[in-house]
Amino acid sequence: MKHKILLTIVLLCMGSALPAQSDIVRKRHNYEFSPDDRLVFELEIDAAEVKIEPNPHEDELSVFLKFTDESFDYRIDYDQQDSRISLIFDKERWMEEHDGRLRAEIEVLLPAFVRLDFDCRIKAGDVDMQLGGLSLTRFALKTWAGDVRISFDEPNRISMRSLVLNTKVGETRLRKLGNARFHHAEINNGIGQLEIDFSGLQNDATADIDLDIGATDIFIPEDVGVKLSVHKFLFLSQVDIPSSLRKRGKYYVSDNYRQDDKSVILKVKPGIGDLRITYH
Amino acid sequence: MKSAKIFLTVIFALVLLPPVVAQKQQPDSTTADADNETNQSKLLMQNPLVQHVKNRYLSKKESIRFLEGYQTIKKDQSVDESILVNNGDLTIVGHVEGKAIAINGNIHILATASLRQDVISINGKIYREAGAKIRGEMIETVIKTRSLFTIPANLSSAKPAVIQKFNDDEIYENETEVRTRSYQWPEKRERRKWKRSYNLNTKQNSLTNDDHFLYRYNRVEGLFLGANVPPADNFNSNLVDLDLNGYFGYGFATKEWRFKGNAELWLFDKSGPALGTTVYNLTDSQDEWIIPTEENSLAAFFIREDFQDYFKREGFGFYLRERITSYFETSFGYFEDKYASLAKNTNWSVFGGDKHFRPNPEIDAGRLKSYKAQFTLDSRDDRDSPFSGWLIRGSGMWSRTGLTGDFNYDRFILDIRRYIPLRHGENFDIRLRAGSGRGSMPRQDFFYLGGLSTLRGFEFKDFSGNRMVLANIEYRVGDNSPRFRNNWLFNSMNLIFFFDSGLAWFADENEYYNEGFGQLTWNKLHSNVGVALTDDEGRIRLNFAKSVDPGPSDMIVTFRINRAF
Repeated sequence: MKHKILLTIVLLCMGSALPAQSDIVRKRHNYEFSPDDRLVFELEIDAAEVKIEPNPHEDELSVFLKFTDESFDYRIDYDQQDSRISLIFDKERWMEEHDGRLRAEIEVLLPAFVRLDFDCRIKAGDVDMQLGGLSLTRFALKTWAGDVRISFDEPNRISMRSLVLNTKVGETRLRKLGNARFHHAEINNGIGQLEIDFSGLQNDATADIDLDIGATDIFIPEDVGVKLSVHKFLFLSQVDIPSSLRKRGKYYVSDNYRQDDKSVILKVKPGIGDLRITYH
Repeated sequence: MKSAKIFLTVIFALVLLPPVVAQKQQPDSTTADADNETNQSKLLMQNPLVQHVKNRYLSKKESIRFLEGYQTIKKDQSVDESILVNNGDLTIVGHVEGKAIAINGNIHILATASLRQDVISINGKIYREAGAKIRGEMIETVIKTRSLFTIPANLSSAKPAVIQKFNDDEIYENETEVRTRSYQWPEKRERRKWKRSYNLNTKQNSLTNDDHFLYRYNRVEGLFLGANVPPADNFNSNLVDLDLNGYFGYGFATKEWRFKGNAELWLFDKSGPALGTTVYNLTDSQDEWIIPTEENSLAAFFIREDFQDYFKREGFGFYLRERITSYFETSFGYFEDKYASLAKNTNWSVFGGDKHFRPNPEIDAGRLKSYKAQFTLDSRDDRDSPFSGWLIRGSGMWSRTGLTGDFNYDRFILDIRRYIPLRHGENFDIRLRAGSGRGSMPRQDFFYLGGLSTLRGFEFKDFSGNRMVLANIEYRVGDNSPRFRNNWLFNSMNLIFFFDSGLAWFADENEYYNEGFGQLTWNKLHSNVGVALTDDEGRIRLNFAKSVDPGPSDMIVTFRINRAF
């Protein structure tokens, strides 16, 4: 009997010592469009793990949010007249301790057939995007802290007018960026390693790449003509340029530049760190 | 007996037959209801929207109960299949084993409800009370009226469209709107706390930065280290919108502490005006507009050149400020200050040889009670290296003997800047600055011209007065300009051609701020021309400037890491 009483007391003590379980909210918002629709999609996220990829339902935008109810809030607006969807995901009470109990995941499935102007701002959290096969007219991403991985596994269905990536702190890896079919790209990374792979480039394009602190790795496939200018930061930039790019004036130019039907003009500011360019 | 049997038979038949008939009819009635439901289901299934929802969210094998109009699943009710409600709200108090779907209606899930699968509202909202148990997802779906489901031909294939070939110039010419400078991040929506601005009191914050760690170096304080509590964007009190910020630090040469504390109360949520109070003990300077503190600290630390003059200012104030639009902000306040001179306390720098820092000039010490007002209209695309936009800033200070201070004067400054992109790689920038006042202005509030950022072909602070006019014009051109792309000169550098003109003079103390301009004539204006070698943004630059005033003059060479304006 004593054992049972003791066990009961122990269990009660354990129960009271357990932290209160927060509600995990799981909410999905789906928006269906006609294939010829245009859409402006704006994401403003305080803190979350963000995953973005094409939707298997190609005329549907789907936003799935999974978060701890007490610490996050969100608002999603759909302006049908302007064809604009904005999601604001707020982290509340930043100063409070949460003992790692917080959870915030956002999954966005983008419609492939809708012409999309996509603007994304994320203060904190890792970002994983697979944007191949979409119909992006513009794409802008700004992150403050967290690693960023963006991949275009398939070509964008239409030409992208602008591609603007601005990441402050964290590693940034851009795979098969040529598949984005951009005309002009602005890539700015504050602190952290930057990897850019221009595979898939099928048209003439320009790109300005700016890194403040960290190593920059740029891969360009050899079937793409290259005209490269490097703006070093005093003696603090270490630049490694392949011999197949010949120096002409202030530029490094490949032999097939302007001979092929696809060339890229790169303007690179490596900042403080190494710049490695691979061209093969 | 026989008649009795017949009678009983008839009675039996009369009594029992109707129920039997009824029993026969009852299955017929149930069949009719089922038929009605089936018909309703069939009718619903013919609805293209229902059909679409069924295909999208329900499996073919799934057992579905189709209902039309407003429906309620009661507390003691349990539905062991999926339920689809068309054109009406669905309220769930009981249990649903399958999916719960409302088309063109909201779904209300009360605390006692439990659902084992997804809850889906088509063109409606889902409202959930705390305590309701939902194992699946809550899905709100918006389906527009779909006139067609066909895919446009140009989108139907991932094959790239026809690739257009164009040269460099065309790329830049055609795509100017997507260059970095012109990319406009959309206005933040419904985020009032992000709209807060702390740039209004730039004068008071001039010797600080936004980081938590504070440092600077000058000939008065020597090395100054401190801690800064910047305005906390993310701090929100549930009770009041109160923000406390400021800094403190220690000057190792003066061996004195400096501090500033602000308390700001947002009166009508954060979209309205803010009422603030401030208390401070500062090493202050009027020369932040000539050279930023960070750049001046580097010059003092490395090459023993300190271009700011300092004085001690301690006191307190109350102010009201408001950001009326994202471009326009204004403030007004009352301040009581005590001014005192500070001496040069160090002559150390990393390099500089036998050079000596300039003495820090004496000021007119005393107590000042004043009203101050300021407005700023700022539409520039970038704070540090603007390429386009306006900056118009006006500030005024009134100090009357009625305020029982030691000074009786007014002081006004108007600064107008315009940044005009001519084309990619070429910019035309202009600044007009004027200062005026009334009464006996103390020395620390005189207007000084000459040297850095002002009249660049003249010696530093060559001219002074209680009136000032200044014009700076810059034409920036670089190799990004299509016009000069193949020019040998611009291949190796970017250039700035500049022209400065201005005058500072003393008017009679009794004249008002709009008087005393009789001395301002074209002949008296001091002017210089110059050229600067610079980086793409025009910040890091080597200036060569020469006076065009009559008489001999030297070439003035300066190296800067910030723009003049």
